[in-house]
Amino acid sequence: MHETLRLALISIIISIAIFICVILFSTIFRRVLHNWKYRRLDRYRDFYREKLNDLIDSGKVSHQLNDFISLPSSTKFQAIEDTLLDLINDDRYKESVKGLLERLGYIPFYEKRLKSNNNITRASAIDKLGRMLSETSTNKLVDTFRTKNAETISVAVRSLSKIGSTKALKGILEHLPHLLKESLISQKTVEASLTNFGVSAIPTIIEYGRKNDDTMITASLLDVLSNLPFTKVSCSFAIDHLKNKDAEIRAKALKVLSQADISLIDFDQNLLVPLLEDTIWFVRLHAAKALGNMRYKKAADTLGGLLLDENWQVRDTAAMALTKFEDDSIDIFLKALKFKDRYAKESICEEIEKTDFISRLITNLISKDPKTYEKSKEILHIMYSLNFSTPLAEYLKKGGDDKIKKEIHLILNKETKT
Amino acid sequence: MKGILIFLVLGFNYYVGFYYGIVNLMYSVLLTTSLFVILRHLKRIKYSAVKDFSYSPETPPVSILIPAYNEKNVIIQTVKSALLMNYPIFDVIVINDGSNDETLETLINAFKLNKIDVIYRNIIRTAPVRGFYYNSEFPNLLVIDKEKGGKADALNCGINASKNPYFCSVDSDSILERDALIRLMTPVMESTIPVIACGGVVRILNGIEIKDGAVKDIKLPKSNLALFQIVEYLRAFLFGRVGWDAMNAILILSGTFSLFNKATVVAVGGYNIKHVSEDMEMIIKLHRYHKKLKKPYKIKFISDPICWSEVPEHFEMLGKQRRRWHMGLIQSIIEHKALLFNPKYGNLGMFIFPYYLFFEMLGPIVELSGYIFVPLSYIFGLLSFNYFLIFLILAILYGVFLSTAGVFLEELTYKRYPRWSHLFKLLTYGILENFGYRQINSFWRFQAIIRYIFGRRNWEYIEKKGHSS
Repeated sequence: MHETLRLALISIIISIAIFICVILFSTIFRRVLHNWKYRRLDRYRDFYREKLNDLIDSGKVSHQLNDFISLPSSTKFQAIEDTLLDLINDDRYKESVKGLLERLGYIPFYEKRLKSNNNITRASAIDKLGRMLSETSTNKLVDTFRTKNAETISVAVRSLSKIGSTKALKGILEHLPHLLKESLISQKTVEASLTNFGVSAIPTIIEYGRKNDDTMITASLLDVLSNLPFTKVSCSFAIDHLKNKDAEIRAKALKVLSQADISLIDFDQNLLVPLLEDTIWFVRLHAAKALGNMRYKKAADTLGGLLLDENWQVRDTAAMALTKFEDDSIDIFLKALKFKDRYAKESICEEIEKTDFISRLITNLISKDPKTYEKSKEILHIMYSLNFSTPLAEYLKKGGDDKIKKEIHLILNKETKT
Repeated sequence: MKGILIFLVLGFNYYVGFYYGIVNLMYSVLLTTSLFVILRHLKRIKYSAVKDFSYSPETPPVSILIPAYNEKNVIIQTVKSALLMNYPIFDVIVINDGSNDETLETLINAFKLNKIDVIYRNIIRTAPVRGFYYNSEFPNLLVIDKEKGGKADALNCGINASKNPYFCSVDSDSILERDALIRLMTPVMESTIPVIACGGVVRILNGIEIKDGAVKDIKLPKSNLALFQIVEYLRAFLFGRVGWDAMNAILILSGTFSLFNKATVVAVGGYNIKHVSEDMEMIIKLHRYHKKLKKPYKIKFISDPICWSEVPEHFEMLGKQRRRWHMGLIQSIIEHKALLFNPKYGNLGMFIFPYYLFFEMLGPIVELSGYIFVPLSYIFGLLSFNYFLIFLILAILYGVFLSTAGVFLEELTYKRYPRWSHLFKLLTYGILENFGYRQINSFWRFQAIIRYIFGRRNWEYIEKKGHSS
């Protein structure tokens, strides 16, 4: 028994010693091998980058195509591929490189790998085809959605978005309900990828959106539109969803509208005003943000009501929106600052400072309009009483106008006396 | 009587042997698992979404929270490094936790900050806030000055001030690699199951050359103690945590560099200010909360986002740090003892928690007793020389195996130590750490147990030297 145990322990010791030697040897051998491999690869890359640049520039690349043909497992194959993938990002070379990748066998090579049963090999091939902007591979990439492997699908969606064609976009949209329903892709990946298609994708996205009745997808599409440049079609699509039953959709529709360029607005902004009284807080928040961005002054009073909202994020956003109305919001701020709710008053003061509206109020201390002067002074006085007075103190230290300084002194002294 | 004593000592020797066997078996399983996981992860990195997400407006905004207490020597480089992140929308919130050196003044001068008025909502109750500092030239930097409440309290304060849905805790003596944050966020964005926390790798900053908040040149430190810690960290992060993550059983994400979903952290009440190791307690709370409510969730550890952090170079400071870590482990396990062997918590209650209790928390007692009883047994003739020698060689050799495996994994993966001299030095220190360094670590951990028993559970402050630049 003891002898067996002793022998077992000695065998373990020998095995561990062998393992250590293997590790030491592998570590050193691997480093030597890698140094050699990457030095060689770097040399090849430099050589082919120069050669390809020259040949593409001179238009003679087709005559010397044979110089670039190599075996897939070779260093030359990898070096040329790396060089071409670098060049494809340069608009001058994009089209030539796309053709070269096809003719040199890279596209067929990676398309063949799409059939692999190994997820990593397949995903890697999908990624390469996307980076090679291979439009001809679109159908094959869309077919990979059938694998039911989340990793493969995520990479395929991203690759299709890099290819960026309408066909690729339609391929994604067609499979979207199934992919999201089966949790084969995250909503964030979908949104980031669809945004990648850029402004040219907007009509297709909207066309699809109009046929679709899945709330999750509609919310995602609106989110994508809110991150793309504002257009008339996206505006009308968003307006159509302002009365949707789903709060997330209403909020996302407002998000789309909130980025509207003021000069381009040709819709009835009054449509947004009822949403300031929505039962869901984040809808109210986005409505306030949108109307502020649009400088829609008719909504000022309703926005003023939100300064006392139960939710602090809504109060902050309403205050920020009102600062965009410049002097027109002074009355509203003043009214709100006279309420008893300290939290609400502090939200207003913070936004007045953060948006630098306070500088306007300070400048108004020498305004020729007596009403503006009085109201601005009163707001500053209330802010001071709530301990939001740092900009006043800063002006006294660094400001240039003596009249303003005198007025500030009056505010500070008045408070001290009271 | 003598017979009973001999029986007990021999029994204990067998117990120590059995204990080593189990622990080493566990380590071997972790090592094998991480080897496969890391190799697969490396292949995946080639087609990872990091680049796509790094400029996407869909990437969620993050607040980088940097709690600081007496960090005037290191804080500027840390903040500069955080501000350099390659990430679409983020802000940096530094929380000066009542420092009594010039930490706040250093920050004010370096970034020309002005005192401003900001509403502070005490959602998670913290020590009072004294002021906020801001400069519109650095619109995504906010410095909060508060009264001293400890690291957990400072982090809670940062959470209260943050307006983003995610936050990343970063130690005030750390330098983040530029892609670190986006790499940490990638699993959150890609997963169809909510990822509520995600941790990255911490590497040793000592000896590294820093320029303008970024790593300029990687060099090894001169201090032996720091070199031992490099090997130790490689082992802990590259095979320890990767292995646990593969089993979906992560119980520790380093507070030095971890990303969290803010709403979830607020839902569990924020960091526990009574704990000296707030990071581990937070992860246990998150596990517990989600298991109890049967909510789907993931807590991830990934090995490619890297944060370089300073480690102690003096025994006294290292001892303080290790005692604190172990004290934190004890506090967390005792506070959440309800999880132990509780089938309601699945894997966590039946396997992970008992492992941490018996092998991590109580491990130092067995180890130190082993160092004493096994040689004594030999001296008193209760153990044959053969067995004594075999046991000694086995213990040391397995330690060497684990250390060299850690260095091998580093070589296989990220190869952040590029020179030949680095490699040989790390391998040498991987062997040497088994002759003294490991034993002294066990002693510090044992000290923590004794201190815990006698109620000395205070936070031991470690002085920072500062990065080279």
